[in-house]
Amino acid sequence: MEVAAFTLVWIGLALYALLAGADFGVGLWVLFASFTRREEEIRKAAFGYFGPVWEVNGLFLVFFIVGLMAAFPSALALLSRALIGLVLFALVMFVVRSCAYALLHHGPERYHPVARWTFGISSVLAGLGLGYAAVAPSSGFIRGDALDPGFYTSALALTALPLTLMGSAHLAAVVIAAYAHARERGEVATEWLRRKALVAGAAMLPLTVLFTISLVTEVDYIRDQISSLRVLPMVAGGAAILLGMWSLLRRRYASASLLIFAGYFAGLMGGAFLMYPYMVYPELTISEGAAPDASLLFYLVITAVGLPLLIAAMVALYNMTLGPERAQSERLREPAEG
Amino acid sequence: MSDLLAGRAQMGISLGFHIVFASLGVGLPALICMAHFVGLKRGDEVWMRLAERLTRAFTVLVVIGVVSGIIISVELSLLWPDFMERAGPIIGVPISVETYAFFFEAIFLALYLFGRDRLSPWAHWATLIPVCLGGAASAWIIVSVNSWMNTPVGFDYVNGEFKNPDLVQAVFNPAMPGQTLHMVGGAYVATGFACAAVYAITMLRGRRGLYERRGLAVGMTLAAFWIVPLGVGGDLAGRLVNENQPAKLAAMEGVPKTEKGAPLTIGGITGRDGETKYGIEIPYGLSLLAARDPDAVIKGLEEIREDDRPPVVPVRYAFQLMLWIGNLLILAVTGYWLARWKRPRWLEGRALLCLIAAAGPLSFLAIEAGWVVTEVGRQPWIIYGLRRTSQSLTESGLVGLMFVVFTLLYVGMSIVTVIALRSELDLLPKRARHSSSSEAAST
Repeated sequence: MEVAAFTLVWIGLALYALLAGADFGVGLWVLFASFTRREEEIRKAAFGYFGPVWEVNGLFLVFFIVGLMAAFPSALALLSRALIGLVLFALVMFVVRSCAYALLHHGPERYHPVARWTFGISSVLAGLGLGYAAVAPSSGFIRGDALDPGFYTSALALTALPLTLMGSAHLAAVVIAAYAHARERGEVATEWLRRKALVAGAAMLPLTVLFTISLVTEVDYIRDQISSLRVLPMVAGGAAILLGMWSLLRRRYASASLLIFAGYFAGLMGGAFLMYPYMVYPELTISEGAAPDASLLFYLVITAVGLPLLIAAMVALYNMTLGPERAQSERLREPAEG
Repeated sequence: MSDLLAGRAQMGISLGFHIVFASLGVGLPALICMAHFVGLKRGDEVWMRLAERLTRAFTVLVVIGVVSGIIISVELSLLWPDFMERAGPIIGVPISVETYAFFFEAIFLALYLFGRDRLSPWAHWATLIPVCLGGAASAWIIVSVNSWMNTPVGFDYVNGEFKNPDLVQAVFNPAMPGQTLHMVGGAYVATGFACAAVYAITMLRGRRGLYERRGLAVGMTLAAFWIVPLGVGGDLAGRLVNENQPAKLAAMEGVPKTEKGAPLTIGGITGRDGETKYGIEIPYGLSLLAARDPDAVIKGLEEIREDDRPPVVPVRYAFQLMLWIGNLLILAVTGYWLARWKRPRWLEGRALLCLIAAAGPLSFLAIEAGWVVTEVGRQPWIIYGLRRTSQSLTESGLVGLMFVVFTLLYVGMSIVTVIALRSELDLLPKRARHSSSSEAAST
C-alpha cells in the first residue's frame, strides 16, 4: 500500500516539476525576448499560454505536499527541517513572481517594464531554488534532519542547476511554440521558440551526461543501481525526448509536446524507481516514512477517485487553451457591448 | 521577540491575509453565478455587465488568493514540522480532499475566464457551478480540520503519538458542524456585503442607475440568504465551545469564577484574569445561551491551570467585536429588505447606504475577529489538550527571518492587490457610468 501511495505522491511531484518547470521557463523566455526585436509577439504567445494554466499548475505543489502529509508525514517533517532554507528561498521567489504577473496582467501599463523583469528573474530563481531542493533528498547530504552545507557546492548540486534551468527553458519553448502554432499567435514567435526549443533540447544532452556522472560519483547507492534494469524508465524517457525533438524539427508541434512531456515524465518517475526503497537517502525509506494503513487506504481511495477526474478536467483546460479559437460572434452574444 | 511568538505571529498574519481571499473565493463565484444566470435567462445586458465586472475583480483576487494559499501549505510544514508529522495521518487525508476541491475550483474558473469565446453561453455559465461547489467544499474541509485541532478525536493517544486513526470520526469531530456552518455562512455574508458596499458607495457618490441598484441587490440577496445560517452556526459553535473548550469560553465571555446561572456580560473592560468592569450584565444569559439552561454551571478561569489558559484580553475583545459587528449586519440586512418591501425612500437617502457601505469592510473585520477567538482562544495548545504550540515549532534558526520576510511579502501582496483591483475595475466604470446615465435619461 505504501508503494502505491508513494507512486501517487511522486506523480504529483513529477507533474509539478513538468508543468511548473515549463512555467518557470516562460519567465526565462520573457526575459530573453526583451533582447529581441520580436519581444511583443513572443511575450504575447508566452503569456497567452501561461495565463489560463499557471494557477492550476502551481497547485500540484500543494498536491505533493498534502500527499506527503497524509501518506508520509515523517518524510514531510524531515524534508521541512532539512530544506527549510531552500524551500523558503523558492517560495519567496514564487510569491514575487506571482505579484509581478498580477501587475503585468491586471496592473496599469506604467508598471509593466519593472514587472516583466521581476517576473523573469524571479521565475528563474524560483526554478533554481526548487531544482536544488529536489536533488537534495537523493544526494545523501541530508543527515539527521539537516542538510550538510557541503551539498551546495557539491558537483551533484552544481550540475543540477544548469540542468533545471535548461529543462525549464526546453519545456517552456516547446509548449509555447505549440500554443502559438495552434492559436495562430504569429509565425515569427512560433519559429523563434521552435529554434530555441531545439537548442535547449540539444544542450540538455551534455548537461544530463554531466549530472549523471556526478550522481554516480557522489551517491554510492545510485552507483549500485545505475547498471541495473532500474534505469530503463529513464532510458525510455530519453528516447521519447529525442523522438519529440525529431517531431519538433519537422514542425509537428502537438506530437512534439506530447513526446517531450512524456519523456521528461518518464525520466522523473525513473528517478523514483532508481531511489527505491529510499525516500530520503540514507535517512528514510518508504516504509519507515509511511503513515498508518488506515490513512494510506483513505489516501489511495481518494486519489483513485479524484485523480482521474482531475486529469480529465486538466485535459479539458489544456484543450481549450491550446485548441483553436472559435468565432465568438457566431455563438455568444457579447454581453458588455449589447 | 521569541521564536514562538514570531512563528505564531507569522501564521496569524498569513491566515489573517488568506482568509479575506478565501472568503471572497467562496462568495464571489456565487454572486457571479447569480448575476450571470439572471443575465442569460432574461437576455439582460446590465446583469451580464455586473457578472463581468465581478469576474474581473475575482480574477485579481484569485491570483493573490492562490499564492497566499500555497504559502500557507508550505509554511505550515516549514514552521510546524512536529505538528505535521504527528497530525498528518489524521488531517492530511481531508486536506488532500480539499486539494481536489481547490483544483476543480481553479480549473473550472480558468474554463470560465478563458472559455467565453469557446463555449456555448449556458455551458460557459455552467462552468461556474463546480467553482461554487469547490469553494464551499474547500471551506468546509479546511474548517473541519481546524475544528479537529479544537476538539481532537478519532485516534488513540499513546505516549505522545496519535495511533489507530479513525478519519471519519476525526472529520466529523464535535466542533465541526458549528464551526463550518459559521465560517461558510460568514464567507457568503461578508462577500455579499463587500459587493453591496461597493455599489452603496457608488450610489452615495451620485450614480444611481439600474446597474448600481442591481449590484447592491445581488450582494444584499446573498447576505440575507446566509445571515440566518450564520447566526445558527455561531450559536451552535458557542454551545460546542462550552462543552469542549471551557477555557476558551471563559476567555470569550470573561468568566473569572465558576458560576451557576452565569450572567451574559456585554461590553465593559476586561482584565487578564477575566474580570469585566462596566459591562452590562444580563442575568442567567450566558448559562442560557451556552447550555440552554438558566441554572447551568459555567466553568471559570480559576479552574484552569494558569499555563493552560489562553490570553484572555484579545480573545474577549475579538469576540465582542465580532458580536457587535454581527448585530450591525443584521440591522443592515433588515433595513435594506424593509426598504425594498415597504420603505423605498430609505434607499434614496444616505443613512441606509452609509450603513451598508460600512458593513462591507466590517464584515471582514468580523471574520478576522472570529478567527482570533478560535485560534488565540485555543492557545497554548496547537491540538487542544494534547500538544502545545511551543512543542511543535521548528528548531531552525530561520523563524525570525521568515517572520520579517513574509511580513514584507504580505505588505507587497496587499499593495499589488490594491493596484491591480483599481486598475482592473477602473476599466469599466466609464461604460457603466455611460450606461447608467443613458438609462436614467431614457426613464
